[in-house]
Amino acid sequence: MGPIPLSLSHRKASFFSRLSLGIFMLFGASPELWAIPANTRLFCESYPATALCRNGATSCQSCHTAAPELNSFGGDLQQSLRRYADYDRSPAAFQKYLGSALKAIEGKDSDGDTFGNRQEIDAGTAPGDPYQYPGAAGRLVYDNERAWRRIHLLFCGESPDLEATREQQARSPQEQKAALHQALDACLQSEFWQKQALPHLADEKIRPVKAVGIEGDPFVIGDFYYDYRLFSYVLSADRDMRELLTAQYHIDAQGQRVEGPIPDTPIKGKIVVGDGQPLAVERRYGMITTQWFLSSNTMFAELPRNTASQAYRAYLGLDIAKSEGLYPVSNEPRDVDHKGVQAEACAFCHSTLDPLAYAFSPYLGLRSFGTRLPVGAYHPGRKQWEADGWLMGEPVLDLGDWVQKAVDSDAFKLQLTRMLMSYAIGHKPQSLQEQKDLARLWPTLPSLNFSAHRMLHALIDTLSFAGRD
Amino acid sequence: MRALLLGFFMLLMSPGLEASEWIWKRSRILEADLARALALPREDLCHELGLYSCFTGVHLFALGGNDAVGRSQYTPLEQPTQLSAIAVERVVSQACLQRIALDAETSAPVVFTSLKLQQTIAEQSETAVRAQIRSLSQRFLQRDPRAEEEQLLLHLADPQRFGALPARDLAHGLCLAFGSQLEFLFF
Repeated sequence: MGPIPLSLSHRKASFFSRLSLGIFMLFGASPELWAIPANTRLFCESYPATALCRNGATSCQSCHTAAPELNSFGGDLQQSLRRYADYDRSPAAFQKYLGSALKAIEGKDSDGDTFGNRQEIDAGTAPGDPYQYPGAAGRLVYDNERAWRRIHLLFCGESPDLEATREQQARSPQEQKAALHQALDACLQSEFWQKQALPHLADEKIRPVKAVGIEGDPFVIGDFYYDYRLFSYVLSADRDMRELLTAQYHIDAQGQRVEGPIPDTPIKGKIVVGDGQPLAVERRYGMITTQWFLSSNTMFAELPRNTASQAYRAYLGLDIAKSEGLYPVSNEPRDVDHKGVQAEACAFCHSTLDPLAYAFSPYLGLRSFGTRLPVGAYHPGRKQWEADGWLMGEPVLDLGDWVQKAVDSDAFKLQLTRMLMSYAIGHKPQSLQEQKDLARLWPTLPSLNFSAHRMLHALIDTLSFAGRD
Repeated sequence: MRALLLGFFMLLMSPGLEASEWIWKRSRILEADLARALALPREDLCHELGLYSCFTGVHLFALGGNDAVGRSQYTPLEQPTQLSAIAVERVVSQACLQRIALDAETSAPVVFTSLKLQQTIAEQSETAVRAQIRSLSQRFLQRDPRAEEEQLLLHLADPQRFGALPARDLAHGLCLAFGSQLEFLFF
């Protein structure tokens, strides 16, 4: 027996229940996050000089592997806190005892790397990560053979062949170095890099959902392949990666640039909510205003907080859910859409998040607010909060201003460099050498014309890429 | 089982491997390298129940890949898990068996060119076994085998212990040993 056909009303009901579930998951089912922002700052009150703290806050990874899971240092800290009879895990108790609990485990070597916790905190190495310890960098030497192999595997998608490897081994060190860069150039043109590896770098930024994408059935709320094509286009052929946020064009299925809006097109047998790109050129801002990005992130929200936080997370590397990038704005959150975000448990994060989202508010998600505008369109009647926005401590007039400040920021350079480096070394930068190389490379992005190819060439020269003990 | 134990022994032999220094050869790259080492089309490498692709379907995630569009898996595993080890062994083993079956049926074998696959292990010369080990090392690792590796693998062709077994078993053991060692799976 085949699938039972659903009536349109059933299909709509099913679609909206899925959406409702999604909204509940996004806003209703969040774990208790309210204590976290303060915790990352309290750690730094005990150790204000450590390099583990930036802007007075440390990262979640100082105590967690992936929150809420604790790393070995976090585990020891938890044990240390529990020694206090009246420690009841409340924020007040945490605040009261954190300093002394930290002090009590300073002499301990939580991660077993032979360096005590205090030694590591003073050196700026993570006390809960055995791969980070004082003096860990500086022992590595560059291994041309490793680089040769890694370039072929990571960017061409297969091992170098035996003959080519023997030829490489026969070259002088200078010739080997030049050959590495030639090999990278060739690999960056390969189908593997262009069609497989590169698009995967965008998965977490685009977050496609097949069930409601262009292959969706019955509903299509956006075609995320536009997003993948734009991402791959911008990161190819020496282009400027700032266009991830500033591009005012789209890339069609043939790989050609398309200027201006692309109308939605009906698809037989499907209910197309949107499968085009409705924005006029002057309202277009790269990956964060595609129809898919707006429809899938904003959905029915009046204030598109999820859209703003995903843009912040994906392109500036700042995840508000992990207490990153918090720049509280005074007199915020105003709770413009009456969601109760002024509650004590919500207000701290929302004093950054809500002003971050104001610039997105005229861009429609799935809710049309009584107009016939398509999904993802700019609604001139919804500009009431647009000019109230803030990004990283600076006021922004509209999304264009938001984007300009974003691409000019250090966070943007760091995030793109970290993305490319994470691919090149197979994991997020962790060791001291990796942190050191990342810190040296990201500020050079402007001098590399924000080109992904040029940054990859710089990356393959690092000890993080091909260092060996 | 013998091949499996040998494979693990080869893992232990891999010199100087520290987890933090190495990159996991994830699903698509493993598939491409295995296909090339065994001269097989990617789509023929491995199917579970003869139907479902190991690399793009059944074991994709365990092998370090992710299917963002089809399954909303936006990030792959950060590190291999216990399931990864099992999945690797299954896909390498299946791919080896595919190649052995093809080479056994033809007068012009492509990978197992030195062994006489229709005969027993006792009927293989040591020179032929050494040549096969060398060829597999070059195919999988792009280098000649080290003396200790060759010596270890020759135990699989011990005529006293395994002489009565078909040479196909020897081919499978050698193939699995190279395809499951750290040097092939990490880079």
